[in-house]
Amino acid sequence: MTYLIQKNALLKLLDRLIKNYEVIAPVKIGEDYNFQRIGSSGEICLRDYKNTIFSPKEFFLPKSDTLFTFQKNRKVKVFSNIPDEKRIIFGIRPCDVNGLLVLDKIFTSNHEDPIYMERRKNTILIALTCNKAGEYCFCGSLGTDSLREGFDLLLTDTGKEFFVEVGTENGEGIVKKNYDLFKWTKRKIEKPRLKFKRKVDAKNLVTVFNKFYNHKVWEQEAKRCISCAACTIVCPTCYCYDVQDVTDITGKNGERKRNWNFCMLLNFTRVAGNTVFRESRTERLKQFIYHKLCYLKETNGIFLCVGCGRCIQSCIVDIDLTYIANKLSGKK
Amino acid sequence: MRFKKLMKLDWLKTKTSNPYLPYAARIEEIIQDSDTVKTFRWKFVKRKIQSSFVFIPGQFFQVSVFGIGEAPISFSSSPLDMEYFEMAVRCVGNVTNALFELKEGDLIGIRGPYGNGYPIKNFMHKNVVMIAGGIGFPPVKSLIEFILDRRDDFGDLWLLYGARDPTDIVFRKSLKKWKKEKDFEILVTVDKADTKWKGNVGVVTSLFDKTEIPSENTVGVMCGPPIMMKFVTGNLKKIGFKDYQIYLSMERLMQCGIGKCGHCNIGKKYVCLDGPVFCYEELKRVTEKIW
Repeated sequence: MTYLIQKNALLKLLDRLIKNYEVIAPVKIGEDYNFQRIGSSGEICLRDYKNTIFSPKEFFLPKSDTLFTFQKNRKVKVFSNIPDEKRIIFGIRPCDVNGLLVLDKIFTSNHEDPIYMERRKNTILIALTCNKAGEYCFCGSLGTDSLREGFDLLLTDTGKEFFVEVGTENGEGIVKKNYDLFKWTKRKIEKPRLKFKRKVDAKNLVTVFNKFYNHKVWEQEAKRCISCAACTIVCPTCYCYDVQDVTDITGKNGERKRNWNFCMLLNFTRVAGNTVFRESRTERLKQFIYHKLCYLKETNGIFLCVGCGRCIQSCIVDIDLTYIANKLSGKK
Repeated sequence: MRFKKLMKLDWLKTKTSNPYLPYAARIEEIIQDSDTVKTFRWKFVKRKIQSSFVFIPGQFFQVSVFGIGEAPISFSSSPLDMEYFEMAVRCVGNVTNALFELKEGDLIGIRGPYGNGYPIKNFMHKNVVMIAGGIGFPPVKSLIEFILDRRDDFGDLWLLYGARDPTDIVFRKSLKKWKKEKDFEILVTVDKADTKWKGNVGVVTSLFDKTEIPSENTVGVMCGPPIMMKFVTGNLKKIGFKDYQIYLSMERLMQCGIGKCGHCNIGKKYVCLDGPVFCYEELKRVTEKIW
C-alpha cells in the first residue's frame, strides 16, 4: 500500500505517536545530527540531514546492557529481565535499516539472543529515503541505498509531500489509526538518484581481500592509525562486546552486563598470561576492515558493512576503507 | 546410551530462553594439583540438569563466579563420568583467582558446553599422539580418559607432556595410572629441572627424538601455548604427518561462547563455534596469522 502525507500532517502524526511510544528521531546538535528521544515533533529535523554521527545500533545494543541480574546468598538466584518497552525510530536511513538486518542475522544465527531480538520486535522503524548522498557515503556500491524489507513505513520526500510505503502490519496499523492524515495513492514515484563520491567494487572484494592480505597499503594506512576505535564505535554493524559483572557494595546483588568493546583496541584479544593476539595496529585495522568487507561475505553471503561512511567521517587521521579496498582492487 | 548421545550433536542446538543464564553448580571437591593449579570437581545443583548434561572432550564451558565474572574453561574429566564434572584451573586471571578462593560446597555458575570438541569419530581405529603443554593438559586428559574407556576402538597412544618445572606437573595420579596401560607411551619433560628431577629436560618438541611415532594411520592432537603448537606442528610435519592429521586447540578469551562477542575471531573462524579444536588443514587457510 502507498500513501501521501503532507509535512504538517507528518509532524502531527509524530506528536500523536509520542503519546503512546518512546519516539527516537534525528535531532540537530550544533553542526551535527544524532538520534535522540524526542518530546515533541518540533525537535526533529526532516530535510537537511544526511546521516547521524552515531548509528542507531545503541538502541538495540546499548553501551552497557544487562544480561541478567543475580542475588547471592546461601543460594544463587538469577533473574532474566528481557526488555519490552515499545519504541519508534523515526527518520532512520536505508543504510542503517540494512545495518539492523545484518545484526538480525548475527543475533539469530546459532544461539538466538533474546535480549536483542525482543528490542527489535518492539521497535517500529519509520525509515526515510535519502535525497542526496553524503560526502562519505558509499552505500550505492553495496546495494544498501534502497530498501525492500526491514522497514515498517518508508517515507520519501518528493518536495511537496512525503510518499509513504508500508512494509509491515505494524506500519499499516499506524496508517489505519491516523487515517485522517494520510491520502491513499496509486501513483508510484521514482526514487531519487544518488550521486556518490566514494565507490567500491563489491563483486571482487572477497577475492582481492583474500589475495592481498600482505599488501603494502595496510602498513601505509595503519601507520597513521592511533587505535582510538572511533570507527568501530560509530559503525552501525559493529557489535562486539565484553561480558562483565557489576555488584553493589555488599557483593551479593549484581548484574551481568555486556559492554561495548572494540577489535581496534589492544586489550580486545588479551588472554590470561598476558598474551595479546593482535599486537600491532596493522593487524587490528585489518581485522576491522576484513570483518566488514570480507569474512562475513565469505561465510554468510552478506557484507558487515552498509556503506554509511561513518568510520571515514569519524576517523581523525583520515583512514578511508574505500581507499584501501580500491587500492587492493588495483583502482586508484 | 550415554555414548550414543555423545555422538549425536543435535542436542547442542536446543535453545534456552536466555543463553547467558548459567545453571548453579556446587563444588564437591578441590584437589591441589600444583602451586598454581587446582582441579575442581563440581555437580549441578539440579539433578535433572546433571543427568542430561553431556559434553565431548575438547569442548569448553563458561564458569561464573558471581560478582567477578565468567571465564571459558575446558572439561578435564571423562565425558562418561556421570556423577560429576571436573575442571583444572591455573590462577592467572580475575575469575580463576576468585575460583581459588572458593571452598568445597560453594556455588558457581555453569553454562555450556560450547565449541565442537575433538572429532572422536575421526580418531577411531587410529593411533593417537597427544601433545600437551602446561595448562593445555586438561582437555587432553579428558580425551585420554575417554579413549581408555573405549580402548579397543583406538590404536597405539602417545602422550608427550611438557611442564615448566617439576613442581608444575599436574595430574600425577592419572599419569601414574596410565603408565600401566598397554600400548600407551607417556613421556614427560620439564623446561627447567630441579635437583631431584631425573627425567627429560627441554621443551616438549625435544621428546620427539625419544620415541618413534608412525605417521601412517595416526592423528596428532595438541593443546598448549601458541608457540608450542607452532613448533609441534612443524615437528609432526617433519615426521610425515599430513595437515589433515593434525588437530589443534586454539585459545582465545571467549566471552559469550555463542558466536556474538567477537573476541575469538581468527580470520573468518570463531573459536567458540568452529573450534576450539581445529584441523590444521582448515586452520592454515585462515588469512590471519594464527600464532
